[in-house]
Parts: sequence; C-alpha cells; structure tokens
Amino acid sequence: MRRLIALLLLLAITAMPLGAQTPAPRPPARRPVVTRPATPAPAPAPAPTATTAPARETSEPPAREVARSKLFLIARADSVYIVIDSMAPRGHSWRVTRSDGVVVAEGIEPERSADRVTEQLGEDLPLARRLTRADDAVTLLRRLNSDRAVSYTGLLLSRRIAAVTGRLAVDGAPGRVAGVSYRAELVRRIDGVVRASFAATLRAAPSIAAPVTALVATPVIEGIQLRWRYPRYTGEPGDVTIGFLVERSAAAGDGEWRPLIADPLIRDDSRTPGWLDPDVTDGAAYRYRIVPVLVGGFATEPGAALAVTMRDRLPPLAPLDAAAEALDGRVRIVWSLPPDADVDGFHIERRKGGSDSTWTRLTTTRIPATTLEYTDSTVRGGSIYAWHVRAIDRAGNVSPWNTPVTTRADERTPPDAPLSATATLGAGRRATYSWKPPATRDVAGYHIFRAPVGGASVRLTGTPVPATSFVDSAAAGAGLMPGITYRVEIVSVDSSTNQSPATVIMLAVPDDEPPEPARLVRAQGRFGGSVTVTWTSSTSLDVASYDVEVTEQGTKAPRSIGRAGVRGPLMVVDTAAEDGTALRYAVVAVDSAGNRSPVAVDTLTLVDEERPSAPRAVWAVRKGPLVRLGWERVMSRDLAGYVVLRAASLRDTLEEVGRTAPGVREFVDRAAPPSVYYAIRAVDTSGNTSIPQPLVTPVTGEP
Amino acid sequence: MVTLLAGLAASQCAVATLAYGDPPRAVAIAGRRLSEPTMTDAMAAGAPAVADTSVATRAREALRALELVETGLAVKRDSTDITRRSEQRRLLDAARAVLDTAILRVPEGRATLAVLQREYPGAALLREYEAWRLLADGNPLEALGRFEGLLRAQRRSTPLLRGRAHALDALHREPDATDAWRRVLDGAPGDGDAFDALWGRHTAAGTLAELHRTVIRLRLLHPSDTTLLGREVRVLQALGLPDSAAAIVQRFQGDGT
Repeated sequence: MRRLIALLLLLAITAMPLGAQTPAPRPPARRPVVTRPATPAPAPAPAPTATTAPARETSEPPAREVARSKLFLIARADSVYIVIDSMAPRGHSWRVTRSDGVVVAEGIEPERSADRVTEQLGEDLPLARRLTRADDAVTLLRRLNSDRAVSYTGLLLSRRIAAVTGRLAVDGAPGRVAGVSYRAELVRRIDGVVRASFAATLRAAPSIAAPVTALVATPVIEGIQLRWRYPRYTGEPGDVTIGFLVERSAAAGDGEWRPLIADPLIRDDSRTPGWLDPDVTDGAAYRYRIVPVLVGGFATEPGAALAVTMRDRLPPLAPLDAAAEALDGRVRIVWSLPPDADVDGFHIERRKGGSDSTWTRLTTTRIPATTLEYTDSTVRGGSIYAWHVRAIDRAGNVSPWNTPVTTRADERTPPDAPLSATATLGAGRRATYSWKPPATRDVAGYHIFRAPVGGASVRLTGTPVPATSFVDSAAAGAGLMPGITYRVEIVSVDSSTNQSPATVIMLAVPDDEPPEPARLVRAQGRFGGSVTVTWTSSTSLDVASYDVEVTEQGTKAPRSIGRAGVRGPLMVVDTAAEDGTALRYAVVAVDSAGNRSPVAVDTLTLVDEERPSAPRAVWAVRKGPLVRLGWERVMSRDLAGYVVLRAASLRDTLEEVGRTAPGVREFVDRAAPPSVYYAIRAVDTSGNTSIPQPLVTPVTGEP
Repeated sequence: MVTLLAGLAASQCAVATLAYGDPPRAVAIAGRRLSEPTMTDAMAAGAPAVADTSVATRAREALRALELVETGLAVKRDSTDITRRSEQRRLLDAARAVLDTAILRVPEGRATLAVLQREYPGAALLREYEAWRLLADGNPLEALGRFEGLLRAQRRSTPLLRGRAHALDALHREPDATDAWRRVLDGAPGDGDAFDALWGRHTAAGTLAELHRTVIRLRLLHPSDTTLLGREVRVLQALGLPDSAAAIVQRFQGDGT
C-alpha cells in the first residue's frame, strides 16, 4: 500500500498536466502534491472491489517487497484482470488461482525475450519507451525488469506493461465474478515451493470507480474552468482510481464525446480536482464529463455530463498607441487597434486642463472597431485637452483606459463678426457701444477700435471683453471729442485670438462746447495812429477763426475790427482807434461749429507822449525890477503855450512864474529878484513839456 | 485506453514546478524519471528522424542560451548596463536564428522540436515554434488554435499575431485574415508582411483609400518611423496622386531624415 501511495504521489508530481493548473496568476508556492493522507481517511470510501489477505505460507521469508505486495482486481465485462503489484524475485514466478480452485495462470514472470516485448506492448510501446528512456527493445526490457519504480509506474498506467513485467493475470472466464476470490502465490521455480501468497476478493463486477460529484463548469477569462469532487483515497484495495479523463462534446451538433486530454489527471487529494479548458469559443455551448481511470489504465463509466456556455469574460486590451493631431478648430485622435479579435468598438473621453479636471464622455454610441480615430470638433482653440480611449468587445467587456494623449487645440478660422452694433452717446460725451454675439461658437470676447475719420485707429480694449456692450469714456474719462466723427470697429475674438472682420459704427459727436479762449492778447498802437491786436491761438483744436472787437470807453456797443483765420497771422489792425480814449479789445475764438469762446481782452488808450521842441534863442533883459524875457517861436501843431520858470540860483528849484499863449513869445517878470535864472519850456496840449535847456540869466540894458 | 505519456507527464511536471518557482526540482524530477528523450517518438510520429545531430545540438544550445538570456533580461530589465543588455539582445537574436533554421527550415525540424520540447518543457517559445511548425506542415487549423491559445497569455505578441494571420490566410478565412493583418500592422507598423497582405487585399477590392487612411493614422502614432513615409508614397502613387507623393518625398529629403 505504501508503494501505491508513493507511486501515486510520484505520479501526482510527475504526471500533473499543465492544464490542471490555473495558468495565471501564479499560485502560491506549495509542496509537491500527495495523493492520500498518512492515515487513510475512514469515510467515505468507495465500495471495495477486492480484498487482499496476504499470508505467509513458508518459513523462509520472501523478499521484503514481496512481503508488502497485494493484488488489484479489475473486473471488466468479460475478464478479470489480476494485477500483482510486485515482481517475482529471480527464480520465482507467480501463480494465480481462483477461489473455485481453477488455476487462472501460472509461471507468471517477466518477459525475457526482447523480440516479443514490442509486440506485447502494442500501443503502449511509446509509453514504455518514455518510461524506460530506451530506444531499443533490449534496453527497454532490461530497464522494465530492473527499475522497480519504472515498472511500477508502468504497472499502474498500462496493463500491457504489467503483463510484460510479469505481474498480470487475466481470468477470461470468471463466471459469476462478484464474490470470487483470487490468490497469487509466489512459487519458487526450482522446487515449486510457495514462498508467499496473497488473496483478494472481488466485491463488484465490473469494477467501478467512485462517481465524480459536484461537477461545476465556470466560464472564466482563460476558458472554462471545471471543478469536481472525488472521495479521498482510502487505502482500500478496491480503491483503484488513479486519475481522470476529461471529455467534451458540443452541445449542438453530433454530440460526439472527445477527450480533451490524452493523459489522465492524477488523482490528488490535496486539492480540488479541476481542469481548465482553454480551447473554447465565446458563445459556444459545451458539455463536459469526467471519466475516472483505474489502475492499469482502464477507463470507467463517465460521470454525469454538464452543459455550459462559454461567456467571454476577458476584457480586451486598451489601445496601446494613441496620438492627437491639432487641426483647425478640431483635434483628431487616432489609436492603434488592440490585438483582441473580438473588439467591437471604442469609447472616448476628454478632459480639459490638468489632471484634476474630470473626464467627459464624448461618444454616446461606440466608435466602430474599424474606425480607429475620432475628430473632436468641440474643442476651443488654445486650450489643452487630454483624451483617452478604451475598447469594448462583443461581450461587453471593456478594456482599461489607455494612456491619455494631450495636445493644445488650435483654431485658425476667425469667428464671425458681431451683429447689430449700435452706438449711443450719453452724458459727458460717453459713448456706449452694443452688439449681438455672432453665431460662431468659439467667441472669447470682443475688441473695440475707434478712430476719428481719417485718423489713426486706437484699440480701446486691452483684452477681449466678454460682454456685448462697452462704454467709451475716451481718455481719462473726458468723453469723446466734440465735433468729431468716429469710426468704431468691433471684432469678435476667439480663444485662439483669431479676429473676425469688423463691424463698423460711425459715431458723430456734436460740437456744443465753446473753444478755449485765445491767449496772450496784446493791443499796441501809437497816438494818432492805428492799433495792432495780436494773440496766440486757442488750445482748442477745432477753432476756425477769431473775432476781434473793440469797445471804446463810454460806448456800449463793441465795434468789430476784424476776423482772423487760424492759418494766417493771428493779428488785426484797428485803424480807427481814437486817441486818448480807453479802448478794450476782445478776441473771441470761434470753432467750426460756431461756438464762441470766452473773450480774451486787452485794453489800450492812445496818448500823446511827444515833447514839443524847446524854445531857442531865449534872452532876458533886466531893467530895474523888471525883467523882460523873449524867445523864438516853437513849431508844434499842438503847442499849448510856454511856461516861464524861475529860480534864484542854479541850485534852487525852478518855479513857474507865468505862462504865455502859443503866439506870445515875450514875458515880463515884474518881480524879479536881483539874482535870478530863467527857463522857458514849450508845453503842448497833452501837457508834454519840452526838454530843459540851459538857464538864462538876464542882462542889464536894452535887449 | 489510457495513454498517459510519461514523457509528457514529466514535461508537465516540470512546467508545473517551474510555475511554482522551483526549476531545480522540476529538472530533477523530470531528469530522474524520464531524463533524456529519444528520437523514437519522432520516428513513431512519422517525422524524419534527426539524422543530423548537430542541428539538434545547435538548437539545444540556442534554446539554452535563449532561456538564459531571457532570464537575464528579466532580471536586468531595470539595469542601466546598456552594453550587457545589448549583448543579451544579440545573443537572443542569434539564438532565434538558430532555432528558426533548426525547427522551421529543415525537414527534420519537427523531430528537433519534439526533442527540445521534452528537454525544455517550460519554454513558451517552443510552443510558439510548435504552432509555426504546424503551419509549415500544412495544418493551419491546428496552428490557428495554438496561436490563439498562446495569444490568450501574450496578447500583444507580434509574432503570434502574425502567425494567427498566416493561419487564417491559409484557411482562406478572408474577413478574419484581413482583420488579423490589421492587428499585426497596428502592433508592428513596420511589418512588411502585414502591409503587403493588406496592400493586396485593398488593391483587389479597390479600397486603397482606406489603406491610405491607415498609413496616415500609423504615421501619427509613430512619427519617427520612416518606413511609413515610403508606404504612404506607394499608396499615393497607386491612388494616382503623384504630386502628393512627391510632396512627401520632398519633405522627407528636406528633413534630412
């Protein structure tokens, strides 16, 4: 029994088909499997088909292996196979007798002829060759007979190897087999002495294996995973199941059962028996059944069949490569086709900006699997976006999202121009421009340009204004220039800074503001002559001319003396100025709209400041207390007369002692002091006196 | 009839134990139980025996080198030792060339493959070679199953995708074959077989414009691949757009790439 266990253990280790393992993920490390516990489990045990009763019949102990031998009885429909689990020692052979005394076989010993061994092995020859690692029959036979492990393995796997190695007897006419017993006797060839014997009773015919229970078939990613249960190995002689075969048939069609594996899965009590069938088609229905395999390689009746439909649980792979190409106003995203053949379509998501933003699904229906690109026309130029794609297969499994691709959207098509633009002039000559947004989707704002007609244009907006109106207060809030007609242009700006054609408004600002007055008004003139009025220009730019008026003292109505244009000399001449009259000259700037500025004024009075000539040839004659003075005539048209001045000495102040009419050229001083000096001054009508001349002292005598 | 092939069982054991991360034990078990394989199996299967043992020997050495290199690559994948990795890559290529010859290009390749599979039951590469060998032996249906089975574990493997496409071609499963070649081309845009296969199909169907879109898309995905430029020129010329083709050539020359 220990040998059986050991060999089953060995088989479990060496013959575990790969498919019995779950390919991935990697299972935890485990020790090699064992097929039975150290102590056989008490229950449940299959009904034994045979019992073994070893008995010592001679005093000479047989070989130790023989002492532990036993019989396996496998009853088939027409025969009972008696398998002896040890080889007869040299010089011995086995004899098998039935309980009714019939010798089933005798002289059973290993085959010694290499010529016959290949014929006896038949279809199990390749197995024998692999077991023995022998190419030729001689070596094969030698190793089968000498390597106990090899021959024992062969015994369990193949009844033909059991026969070649001298451990098989076949009872071809067992009659009523249930309850029949067989005894194997080790007979020494030289004297026929039975060295050892073993008996076993067949409890059931044909031999049956415990049924497979709880068969479950589960579609998994890798295929269909089969699991079933089987009783633990009991160690009873009748428990001769060594493994399982898995068979499958299509649920539809001929229903023919086909083995999935050529090699039985070794019975392994340490794990739930199972098999992964990877060769399945999604959506196809299959039936499975498990066939227990007995010692000697006998297949038994299969268990109940189980039908299952494969469902695709394997999600497709995400597209490995993806790229984004920024086009005009849209972005084209392309990706590679995943290798999975059942990819049915794709979904794509987009997010704007950094990784903290959320993804937005762009597709409501799947992009077909044959279309490996998507054009995102909802981007805004200048913004950075990321897209990721995932695949969906026909079963609805979805792949992970692929690595996002990122690009900056581009926009080269300008937006449409604003609509229905108007301008309204308000208080303080502040203009309000209003418009309606265009139908273009991507409008980030508007720029406003203003220019006086014929002048240079100025952009009023630093950055595009998102509103649809704008208040133009001109520079420093001073309002627009009066009297100017402006050309106002409004353009739409998209997020890529593309500008639309301009929507133009003409805005005429009425001129209701007087211009600034003229500066530095000067009125200059000579007595008896004209008055010239000059000034500098007004600071107002729209002054068209200057009106100059004069108001004479004593009159109320001003008198216009002329108009000067802005391009000529800023000067007018008043030829009618009246001498000696206070004159008030006013200059008024007149703009192009006729507005008149405050007056700028200068006043002037024309006075005579010219001295008359000094009288010449002044003489003075004293005659007593009388002093007679005389002088030559002074020629002056406004001569008013002469003034006679007198001083007692040269240091004294001259004092007027008399005046004469213009035609009188003599004067008599009747109270002249003894020492006296005289001066004669001509005086005009404006009070101007002639330049002082040297003083004259009188002489005595006749002039 | 139980036909448990002990040799295969040993291989399975080795595979299973390798999966548990204990190769020495797997080798020991397989070696102790069944050790060296024989040529008899191949002969029994009707394949020519490995008459030239040097071929098998070279293939065996190549496979050993391959496994060592692959292990090294796996270990050193994060290594910055470029020289070492380059040398490993060279060995890898050389080993695959030897295996290509030994398994696929000589009549006894089938037997050689059987030998190698018993010696290196855990080598996934041999399963791939087995599929190719089946294809070469005129068994595309079986080969397709093998390729698809391998693709379950290595879904992005270009050689496997190519094998699947070849198998579908051989089976004349036209829509599936075209789709398979498209997947090959997407995974390996420089693959000449895939492009030629699609070229032939689109030319016959008069749908070269679709191939043009594919090439443009691949150029976006792989902008540094100059092969795709040449292909676009070829497609444009076939579409009767020589000016567009010339523009691409000029740009190609202008870039100096």
